[in-house]
Amino acid sequence: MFAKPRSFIDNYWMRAMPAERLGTLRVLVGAYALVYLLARTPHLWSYGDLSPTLFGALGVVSILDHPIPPWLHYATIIATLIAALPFVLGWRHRLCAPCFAALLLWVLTYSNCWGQILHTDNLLMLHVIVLALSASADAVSLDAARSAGDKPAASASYGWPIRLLCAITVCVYLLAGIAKLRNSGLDFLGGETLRNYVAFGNVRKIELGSIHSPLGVALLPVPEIFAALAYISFALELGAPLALVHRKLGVTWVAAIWGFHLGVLALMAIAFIYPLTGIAFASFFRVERLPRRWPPWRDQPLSARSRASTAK
Amino acid sequence: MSRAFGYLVSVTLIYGATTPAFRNPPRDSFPFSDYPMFSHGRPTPMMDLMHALGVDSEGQQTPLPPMVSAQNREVLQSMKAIIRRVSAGEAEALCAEVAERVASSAEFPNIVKVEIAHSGYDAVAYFEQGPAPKWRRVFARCPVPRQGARDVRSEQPRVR
Repeated sequence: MFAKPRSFIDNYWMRAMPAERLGTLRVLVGAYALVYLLARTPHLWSYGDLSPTLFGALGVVSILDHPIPPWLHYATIIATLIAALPFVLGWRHRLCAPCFAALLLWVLTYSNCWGQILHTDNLLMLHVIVLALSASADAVSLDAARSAGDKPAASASYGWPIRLLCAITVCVYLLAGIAKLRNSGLDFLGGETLRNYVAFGNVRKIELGSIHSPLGVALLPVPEIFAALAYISFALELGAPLALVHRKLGVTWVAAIWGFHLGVLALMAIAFIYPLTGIAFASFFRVERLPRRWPPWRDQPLSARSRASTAK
Repeated sequence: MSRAFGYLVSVTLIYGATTPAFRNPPRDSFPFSDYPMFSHGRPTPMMDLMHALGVDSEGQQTPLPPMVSAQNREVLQSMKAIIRRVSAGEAEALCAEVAERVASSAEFPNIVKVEIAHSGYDAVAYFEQGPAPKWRRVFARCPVPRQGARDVRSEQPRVR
């Protein structure tokens, strides 16, 4: 007669969600990781023959005192690329996905052991870990196609990983806001620091032989813009947890933070590619509707399709 | 997968993701970080950086890209690599390596010398008044070894 009492946290965190949503997220994040790795292979490869004096181990690579031999480094890159495929396809997920996550963690951490940590990969890595440790291949996968069972019902098993993906995304931005508050205080809101960062970042890019942002340079004579941008940046980062309160708030925050990354790209020529593609924020959306709607003509009757092609 | 496992993974990852910010001092690592980029107060536009410059026969200086200066595609890692080499007393050796890469690249036919320098700028004045550094200390200067070119002896670095 009485429902089993469930705490507020349990209701929120273990909310039943469709397996297709988690499966689609695995495909999106995995496909991004695969393409990203392929595009960055020449870059990752180049760490194989760098001077050992430049090596400073961190994270999981801290078990090493010296760089690994080049052949082993190249082998781990190739193995990671190969392991990405079953992750995307959802093939033998329970075995292959943790292997992919471990290899990706090693390769990306190793690439950050050469003097400067690049914060563009942190969120991708955390998302891959969540998807690898969850039942993200129960749908939209070769594993699901192979099993003759019924389509899995919506379940908490597919809900918590999605909640966790969103929470980790929010944490990353919240921590960036906390770092600004701790290191600059409310002085950051004056805009001077941000303006100097834009100028500093662009000089650094030019003087280190890279491309810079002409738009950022053009805006330097207008300090008021940087004060406004500082307020926006603070609000989006410290207000990030609100994105977890309600789906519509989440979608609004995602749109705003995506615009924020576009602004960073335009003003400083710094591309956070994972957020810019939108895939970093896919967990805030009902992405399971994507495969149903793609390709766009999929649900049209054949007669309508042939009429459309005749009209062309 | 059980709820307990879901909670275990969730608590572990959220704990890992948030603790770097609350450690004293905060810890920047991978994949867990306190995300310190662009967070420190920068009340003045003064800045300094270590870089590799190509110099042509007329004395014009051109910043060399990361792959040439440090065999690294990442801009910031290339700068850190130069800093580490200079700090380790390897500025001359680094200069010679960069000069070799300049010589083997078709991108810099007019570069005759390489300098490893530490330069100071006013980042705003850089764009308003021109890119001349406020100060520059050259740690190493060396010729680009081109085949058939005049043998230019390595010059002593000049400190300004």
